Amino acid sequence: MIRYLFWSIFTLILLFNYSIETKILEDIQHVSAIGYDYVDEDRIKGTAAAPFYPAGIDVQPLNAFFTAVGHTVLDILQKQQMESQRRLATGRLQNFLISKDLAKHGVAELTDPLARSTDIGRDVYMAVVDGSVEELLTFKYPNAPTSAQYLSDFMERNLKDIVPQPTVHAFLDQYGGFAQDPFLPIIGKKDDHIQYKGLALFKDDLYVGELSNKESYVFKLFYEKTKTGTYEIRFKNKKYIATENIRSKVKYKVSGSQDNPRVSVHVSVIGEVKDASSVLMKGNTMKEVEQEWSKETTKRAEKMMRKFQELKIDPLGIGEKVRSHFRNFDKEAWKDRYPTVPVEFYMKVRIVNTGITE
Amino acid sequence: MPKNDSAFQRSELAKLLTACGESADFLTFSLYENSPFFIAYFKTLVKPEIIHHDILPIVKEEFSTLEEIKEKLLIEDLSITDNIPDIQDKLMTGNLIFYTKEGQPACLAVPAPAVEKRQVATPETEYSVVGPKEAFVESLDTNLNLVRKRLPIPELQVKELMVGKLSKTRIAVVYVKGIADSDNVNTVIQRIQGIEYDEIADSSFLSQMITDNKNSPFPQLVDTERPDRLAALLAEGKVAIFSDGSPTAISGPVSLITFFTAFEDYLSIWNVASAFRLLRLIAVLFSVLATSTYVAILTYHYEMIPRDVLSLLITSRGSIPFPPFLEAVLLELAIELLWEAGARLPTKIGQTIGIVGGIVLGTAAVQAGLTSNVLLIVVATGALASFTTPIYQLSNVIRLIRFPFILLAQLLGLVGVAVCFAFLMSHLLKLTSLGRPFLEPIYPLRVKDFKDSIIRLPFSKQALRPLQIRAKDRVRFQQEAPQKKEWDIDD
Amino acid sequence: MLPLPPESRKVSPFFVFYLIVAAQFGLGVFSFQRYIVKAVGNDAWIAVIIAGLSIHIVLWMIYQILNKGTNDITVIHKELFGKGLGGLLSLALIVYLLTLAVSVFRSYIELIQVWIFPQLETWYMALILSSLVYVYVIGGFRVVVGICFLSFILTTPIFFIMLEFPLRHVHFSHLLPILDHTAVEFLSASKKMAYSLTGFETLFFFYPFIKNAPSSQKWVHYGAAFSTFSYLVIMIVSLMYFTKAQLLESIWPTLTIWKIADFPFLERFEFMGLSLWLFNALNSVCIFIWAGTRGLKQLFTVKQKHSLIFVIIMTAVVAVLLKNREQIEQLNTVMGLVSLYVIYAYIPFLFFYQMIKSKMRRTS
Repeated sequence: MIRYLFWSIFTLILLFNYSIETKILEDIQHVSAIGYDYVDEDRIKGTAAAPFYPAGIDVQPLNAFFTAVGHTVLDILQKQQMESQRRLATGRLQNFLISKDLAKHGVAELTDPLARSTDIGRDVYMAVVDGSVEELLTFKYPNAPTSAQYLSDFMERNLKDIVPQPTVHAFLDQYGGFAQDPFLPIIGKKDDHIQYKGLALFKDDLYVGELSNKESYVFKLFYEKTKTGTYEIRFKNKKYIATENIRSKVKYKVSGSQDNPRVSVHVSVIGEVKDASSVLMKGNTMKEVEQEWSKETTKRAEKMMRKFQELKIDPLGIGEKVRSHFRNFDKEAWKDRYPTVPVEFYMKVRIVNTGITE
Repeated sequence: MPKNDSAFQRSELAKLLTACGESADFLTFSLYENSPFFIAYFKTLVKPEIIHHDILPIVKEEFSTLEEIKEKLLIEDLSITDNIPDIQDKLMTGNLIFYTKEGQPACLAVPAPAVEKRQVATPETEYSVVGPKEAFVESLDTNLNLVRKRLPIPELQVKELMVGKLSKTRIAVVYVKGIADSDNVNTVIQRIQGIEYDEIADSSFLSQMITDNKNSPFPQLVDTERPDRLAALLAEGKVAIFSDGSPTAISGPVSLITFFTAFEDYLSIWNVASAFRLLRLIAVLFSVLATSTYVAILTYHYEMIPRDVLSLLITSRGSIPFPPFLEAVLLELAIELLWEAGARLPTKIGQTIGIVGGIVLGTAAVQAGLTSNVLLIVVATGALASFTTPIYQLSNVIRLIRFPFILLAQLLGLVGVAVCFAFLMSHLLKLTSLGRPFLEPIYPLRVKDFKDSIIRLPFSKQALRPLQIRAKDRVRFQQEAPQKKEWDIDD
Repeated sequence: MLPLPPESRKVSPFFVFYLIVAAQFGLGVFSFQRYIVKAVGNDAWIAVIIAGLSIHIVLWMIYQILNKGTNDITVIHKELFGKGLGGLLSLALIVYLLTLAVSVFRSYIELIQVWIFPQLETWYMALILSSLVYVYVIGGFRVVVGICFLSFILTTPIFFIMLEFPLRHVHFSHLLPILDHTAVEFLSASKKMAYSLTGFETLFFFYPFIKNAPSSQKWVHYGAAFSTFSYLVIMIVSLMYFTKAQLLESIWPTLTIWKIADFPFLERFEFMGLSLWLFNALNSVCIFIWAGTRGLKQLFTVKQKHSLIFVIIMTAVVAVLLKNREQIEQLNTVMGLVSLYVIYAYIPFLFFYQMIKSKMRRTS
């Protein structure tokens, strides 16, 4: 008897005392992309793209944007909340954008909520916007129902093959870690499309420089193993050959002593020739193309490295490789030494096919 | 202690006869004029052919004692008794009674029962495409006959008991001696003897009365209408219980996995059978968890929905005025209604109900914006999945336990689903079938018993009986040592 | 001497494996990384191995003690120290186990509050959890073993499957150079690790419930090895996945790893994982409370079903009284320290004391 009494009271307590706020899917306005512009020294302008889904079957989402100026991310979110018809929720955030102007003034304050929040995922894509974030987000693009969807597709299905994983996790990790400086892709609006423009380089949380589109390809090649990427080689007689990377591997070798380390980067690429109009691809020519490809790339890489060392930044994570090589590593000394450390690049290319014609 | 006084006996007999005589179908008359012998019987219980061909022509002669009549009659199983309750039983089970008005109060009982029974037909709830097509009927003797035909050995023993103050139902406890654990047999017999009830209509009455936990929604004894399946269960070492008047036999001890095995599994190749068994298990898990997970995720954990699914779900939920919980409960109730309505109706009307309910109502509900089509798919698949269990009683349980899951999903999201699952598991862990653990072979873990549980291995691997039943003789058949032969391609 | 449990209440030796795993592999797996990384950085995984190995020695000692005593710890205490002191020691051990139960109990509620439902009231979840603990423990030791086993088959496969996602983005160089720290640093890190591996002390109480108990020793070692292995794997993966700074910052790195899961039908696995981990929290609480109430029964001859209700109510009340993260953290720190003494000081002491005492008895 007591047993039944207990379980009935138990059920009643459960039913009448639950205090959790529901977050019913369709009663929430899902912020899909969020971006920040620079206003002045201590104010930023936030734009949230939260597509609105009208009721009914087979309906297209409507573009919906909320813009507000404030001091912190949460302050802005609160102000945006006052405009939206439903509760704004960031649990399904896909893209996090920062304008270049803002990046020059530091992004630490913006990314802290990303690290702290339990509802924002770790695989949100981040990018730096060349120009106004608001403009990029609020533009009505002809090739997608909403700008947020275009952006998500662009970042998730396209950009991730071009640049090394630009996710929140990667950024926070690089930013917090000693051994590497963060980098983010730069995107911008070009006419009525979004365009990838290059790679923004950060020193701690400050934007300090950028790599061009073509350099960023080389960067990816020397940063991690890749499976994609088309590269154009200037061959003799001003002829151009387009090559495609089938797969590549990169290996860092550290030698010397801690006071005098030497780093060499070895990349081996297996590629194919995609476009070689008026160049006959045969034995010797292939060799030449391979050499030309490797020579051009290493030259670019060396130039890129010089730039890094001048800026005293380390997006390639050479510091981490060196640290893992030496015992009792002196981090402070490394910071001073980094600009003078010799880094050599080697690239081995093997062209395995030339398409289905010779 | 009744008085063994013949006058008293005689008055008792007279009382019985007058009591019976109040029924219109009771007949009593003397054999011929001035004959000392009288015949009494219920005309609704006896077969007229036997009386007219085998009894009346013979007893036309003159006899002086009941023994003489007994010798003349060419009918087996005759008995002379003066025990009044015995006589009453004989009368009630289709016997003719010869009695005298004077002298000895003894009666001769001549069996001439008219047995009304259905023909052995094809199984309905446990239908299988291949394999034997006979099913038990309502007659205990026919049923025992069906089992004996499949297990023609003297070790197949039948213990008969009588239960029910009014119904006097014959209960048969059947087992294979030397294989079945005597503890199990004794438990069953003791529990049946302990039953106090007036009318036992079906074996499922027994099943409820002798199970270990009478409050559990889970069936703890398996019921079957297939003689082939029952013979297999008996051969495994289980104990079976028949009840006269019931076309299903119950058997135990069983584990939860038994309810996922169809007899058809043994009729198809082991890998195919195993795949379907796994499918059934997954289907039931899905059926229990799908709707509650839907409610939990849509109410609390929208973060878990992938981007591409998100817009799909939002648009399908967009115009629905109810929260997911209410929507799910309404739809689940609708399906339950369909089921209940269909279950009590003849097949043809049932089909119509299915079409009206399923297609018309479903489409209309979605179009009217009362339910989302995603949930409709989830609930319908869940209902479909719950039908995959071969034993009907388990699917009833699955229907029922969905609702607490949905409720807790509304209260605590996925944590609530886990909490409900934990409660369910605590119940299942404590459950026993005739004292044997119900979750075997999963818990207690007996890897050897997996050979015929979640999967079914080939017959060559089934040389030992499962541990759960604690069969006396664990060896099913002697397995020949596999011959190791060197082989090569094209040898 | 108190009677031993009846044969029908005993479980097969190999179930000790699941009991040990259940006691050791619980909520610690979400958050243990940063304490160890704080001490030895990239060598944290070595500290895990060191702690795991030391646990094996302690487990061996426990078996030596129990094999000689052939009954549970309350009886052994009484034999070694007499009724008064022995009882006091048993009581201390019981209180220790029950406090461990409170710690797991409250930690799980906290996890839910931080990660899933910020508005969830502590008492609400405590009520649900304690009734769950009740329905399991009231079923007796076999049911407690059952939940340990079930939670093992429910959670460990998922735990290992989930490692696949971080493995796509790992940096092997984070692990290098190996052995870049001093012995003192390793020792202090292993000390921290030992708290995650605690809980096997319940062995002192359920030992008589194992069929042919001395033969179960290998399963205990397998169990401890398995949980050490799980901790080791997640430690290595987190070391490779996060940079050191990130690991030091995040309170629950394992859950952060789960956040990146993306199945085509499901993302953000931490919600589902945390819900499933209910079983992992439940089984530890169940073992601790079962062992505690069993001990109380042996000590004071109170009915276990009565002390169980009391203990569960106390557990829930204490859990509700712990208001914020700081207090929970404090409890965990204190328990970490206490368990260190129990594992590395008290058990060896008991082992040697018993050895000396039995030697003395033999010579006299």
